[in-house]
Amino acid sequence: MRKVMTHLILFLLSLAAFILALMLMKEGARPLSPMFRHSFSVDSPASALGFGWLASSLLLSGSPVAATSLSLLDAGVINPNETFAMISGSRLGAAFIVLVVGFIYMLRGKKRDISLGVGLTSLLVTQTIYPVVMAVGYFIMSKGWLGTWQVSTPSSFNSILEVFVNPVVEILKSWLSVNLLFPSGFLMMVGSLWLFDRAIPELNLQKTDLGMINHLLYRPFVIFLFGAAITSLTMSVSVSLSLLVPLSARGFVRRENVIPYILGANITTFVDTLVAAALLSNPAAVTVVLVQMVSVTAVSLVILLTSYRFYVRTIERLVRFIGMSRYHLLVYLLLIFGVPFLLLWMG
Amino acid sequence: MNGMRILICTDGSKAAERAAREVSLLRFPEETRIVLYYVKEVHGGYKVPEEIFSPIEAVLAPSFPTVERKVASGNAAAQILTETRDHSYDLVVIGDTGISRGLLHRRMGSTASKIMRLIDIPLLLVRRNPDQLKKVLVCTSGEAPAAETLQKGGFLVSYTQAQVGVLHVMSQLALAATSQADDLLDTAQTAIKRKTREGLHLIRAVDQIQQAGVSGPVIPILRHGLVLDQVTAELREGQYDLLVIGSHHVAGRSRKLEAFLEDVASDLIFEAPCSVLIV
Repeated sequence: MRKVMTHLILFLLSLAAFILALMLMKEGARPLSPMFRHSFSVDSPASALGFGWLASSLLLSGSPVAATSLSLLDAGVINPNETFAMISGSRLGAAFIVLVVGFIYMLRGKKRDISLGVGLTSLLVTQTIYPVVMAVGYFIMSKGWLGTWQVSTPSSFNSILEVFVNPVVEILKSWLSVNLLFPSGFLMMVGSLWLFDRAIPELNLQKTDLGMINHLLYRPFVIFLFGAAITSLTMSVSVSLSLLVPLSARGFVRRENVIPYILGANITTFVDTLVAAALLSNPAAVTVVLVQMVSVTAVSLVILLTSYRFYVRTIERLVRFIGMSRYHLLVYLLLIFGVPFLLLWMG
Repeated sequence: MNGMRILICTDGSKAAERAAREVSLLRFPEETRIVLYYVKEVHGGYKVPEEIFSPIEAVLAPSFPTVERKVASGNAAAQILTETRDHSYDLVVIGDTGISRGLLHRRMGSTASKIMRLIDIPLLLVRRNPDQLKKVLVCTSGEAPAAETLQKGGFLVSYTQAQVGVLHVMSQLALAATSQADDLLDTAQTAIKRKTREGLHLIRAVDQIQQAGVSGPVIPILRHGLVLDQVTAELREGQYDLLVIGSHHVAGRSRKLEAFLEDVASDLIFEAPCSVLIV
């Protein structure tokens, strides 16, 4: 009971911090517009993509970057197309954490190709689907198909916001310089998501000795849905991936399970971004997030239905090729850091 | 096992002849009872042409002097399944008429496909005939049903003197810092030497195959990667003549549940370049 209460308090705290962070960023974004446009050179979808990619790689998480992009959109600093690109970039960089984990394993003396397996797979799945996801997304946005779908917070929630959050924002505004509001909000956003990770009760799937669950998870569609469901609870691909570990008492996951799981997880990892868009009550923000989710779903379904085996084999080959030598790995790392810099510079 | 009974399904095609030839290659004892089964899909006084049975009897004659003919009418798959349920058979043999590629999935002939899904006894799906059965690959998952695959499969190939490879594929990737990553680099020999879980499983599997009556060499094999790809790669590289796998179907388990469970067997049947014995 006490444990439940602790988790509940942590959850409420993380939610409060999340909302407060979002509001602070919203207030602080507008004055930063010139700096964002000129100093960071974020003035096109390509540069927004590069910025989102680099920022999430450095933060080892995509969610704060995605939420930030929405507050920038809400403040009119970036347009919906740039927001879409920045959120896409946040996904491309977010998977970097699993590669870092792989590196740590390597430093601890584990074999290169084994340590990098899941991390590389996760990165490559995101990197291979996103060019198509972005093309599909921009097509949907250009047609305005999802413009009429709106998710907004109920009016009672807005009253709570006015009563509890706005006074705090006003106090902070009086304390802090206007230029510090956005960075403070951003740090609070990172902190709230960190707190949220701790608020989730430890989801331990029952350990099985390669029992029925493993058999269930072999079917691409089942594991795809499973990945989507678990990630909608944890809101983080890497956290939800780690939940696969208990399925094997030895800390292994089956190769056949990982790819459709990541495909599913890539969709519902946007749940927190969708919540942020709803909290901002900005129709354009909601549309951008919905377009992301629909585009990832559409591309994933096409892969699962038409070319699943081919796709899995291609990813497997790429993972093997990159993990084959230090030189291949170095070139790959230069690419995944070089491409966003190039986008930022050229865009 | 004395008094073995084998049902060979025939539709008068070349595939049925191949099925009969494969039974000869398995070198079952002469006293094995062979039943040739033909299902006419028209009712009434239709006389079954002699060509349905005679070429197949000619193929079987050197090994099995007496062969029984049986004719039924109705849906082929349903009749074959009824026959296997009403009479005790040790093996059902059908010739594979080929696989077509549909819009989203590969398809086998509807009869073979339905039998494959519903049958409870070993089924031999004959794809091509080698000159003789020299190499057989038995796949083992490392779980409880694998014991049945090894025992029944081992027995059914035990008369051939073929070399039997016992293959286990590790498809795992390390995800936790605590995982024993060295296991992912093992060969069968090192796994056996280090007595890892896979090593112990392979020792048991070799023992079970030998207890089933296989007297030829039994080679444990451990591969790493995607299960389907590794099995087909082993079949190609090792030039095996027959693949033995466990069935996806488990008696008593609901069909609805099975629709959600893994079905490596079906995938392997489609991918294997040789005949497949599904136990």
